[in-house]
Amino acid sequence: MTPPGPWKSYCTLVRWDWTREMRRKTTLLSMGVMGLITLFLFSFAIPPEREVLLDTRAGILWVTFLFAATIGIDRAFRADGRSGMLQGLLLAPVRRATLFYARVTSTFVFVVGLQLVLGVLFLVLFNQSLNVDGAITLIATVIATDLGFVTVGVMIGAMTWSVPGGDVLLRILLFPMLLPVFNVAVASADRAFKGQALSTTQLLMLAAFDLTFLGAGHLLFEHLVKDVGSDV
Amino acid sequence: MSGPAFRVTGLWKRFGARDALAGVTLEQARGTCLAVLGPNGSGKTTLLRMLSTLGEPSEGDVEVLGHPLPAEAHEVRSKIGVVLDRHLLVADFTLRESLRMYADLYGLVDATARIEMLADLTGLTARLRDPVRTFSRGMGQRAALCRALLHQPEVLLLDEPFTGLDAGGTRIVERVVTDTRARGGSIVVVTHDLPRAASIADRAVVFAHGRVVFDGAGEEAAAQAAEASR
Repeated sequence: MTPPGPWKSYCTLVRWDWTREMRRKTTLLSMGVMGLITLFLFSFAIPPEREVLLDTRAGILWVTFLFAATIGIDRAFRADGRSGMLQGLLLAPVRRATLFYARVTSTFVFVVGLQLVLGVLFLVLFNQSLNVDGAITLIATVIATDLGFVTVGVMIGAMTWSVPGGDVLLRILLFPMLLPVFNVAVASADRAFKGQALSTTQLLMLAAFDLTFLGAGHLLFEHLVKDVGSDV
Repeated sequence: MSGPAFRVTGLWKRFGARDALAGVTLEQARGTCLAVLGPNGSGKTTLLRMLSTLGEPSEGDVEVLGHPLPAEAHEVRSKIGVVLDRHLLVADFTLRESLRMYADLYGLVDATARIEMLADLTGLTARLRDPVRTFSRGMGQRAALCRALLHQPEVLLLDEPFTGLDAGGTRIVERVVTDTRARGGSIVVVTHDLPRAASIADRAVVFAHGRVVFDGAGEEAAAQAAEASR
């Protein structure tokens, strides 16, 4: 018996992650409910006809995305860690980096998918519209931001799932690290609402964050899951 | 193939100020069953975790099937089967799906036949379509055996394999040990079940305070372990 190579293992892990989420839907539901509540609260506070919305809409959108996505990121390892499933995966002949990339991919897909739905709801609730350039800018911003966001979130999730109060710790560690990313993401989303094309500089900045976080995850993940499940 | 199933030399594992393993030197010949006995907190499970690649030593050398750990952990993982205190399966999947996922990760080509054969061996054929979350402790233990045996491992690491099992389940574990040994595989059993350990193991070691305090035949080790637990 020869264990499959990294690519096949990666595809297997992503496929089974997807199957499992479609089966229980707890992550998607939790993220969806949090996103909806946040959107509704903002829509009560800032009605669509208020001028202040023009200055705050990009921020509102990203706060909604951030709150909703953090739930999914927190669950990336917490449920598996507590059930012992993570140990099962660590015992399988799968490279740690492969496990990391697979978990980033499946979480990324859930987060982006949900954000697309929340984005449409945002446009409806706040009576906003996007032209083609704006839509392309927003989608590219979401994808480029989420890749870095999810990557660093999965890394921190791997560190904090076993710690008492780890869900709070995840947010305490994650949000400050993401400030520069969200600064660019909000500015880029603002361009999208103004109907402007994607800024290459902003996209490059987001790509730089993504590469940095992916590189860090590749190097560090093995150490983050060392001694997982140790009961001593 | 030559060399021991595993060899640990001067193995230390520290958790903060506490030494879970304190300079353990031990090796096991291939094709044998080694029972690891001792009171709670004596370092038995920590040793098993080192051998299973889940834990890394603070000091000392670990080799499994000639592969040094953690450097060649990836090679070792495809050759060992591990049963821990939990079944490590996906609770939301059926048993068949859960095992299938692991079969894919191990690259099994005849996964369906293998899953059915193991379900038959462990008496779980009727439960293959049931979600794992509906399993009792004993059923979970049987399912864990299926998972550990999927890829016909050369070394089987069992942590308290008799816990939660009825008489039928216990006989299954004994049969697995016998079959594994018969095909040249090696087994390490960490247990508190002294009579059972004495009956299935070729050799037993007793741990106390992170050290090996006895190394010898099963029956004598059982007496030593009982003494160490007092």
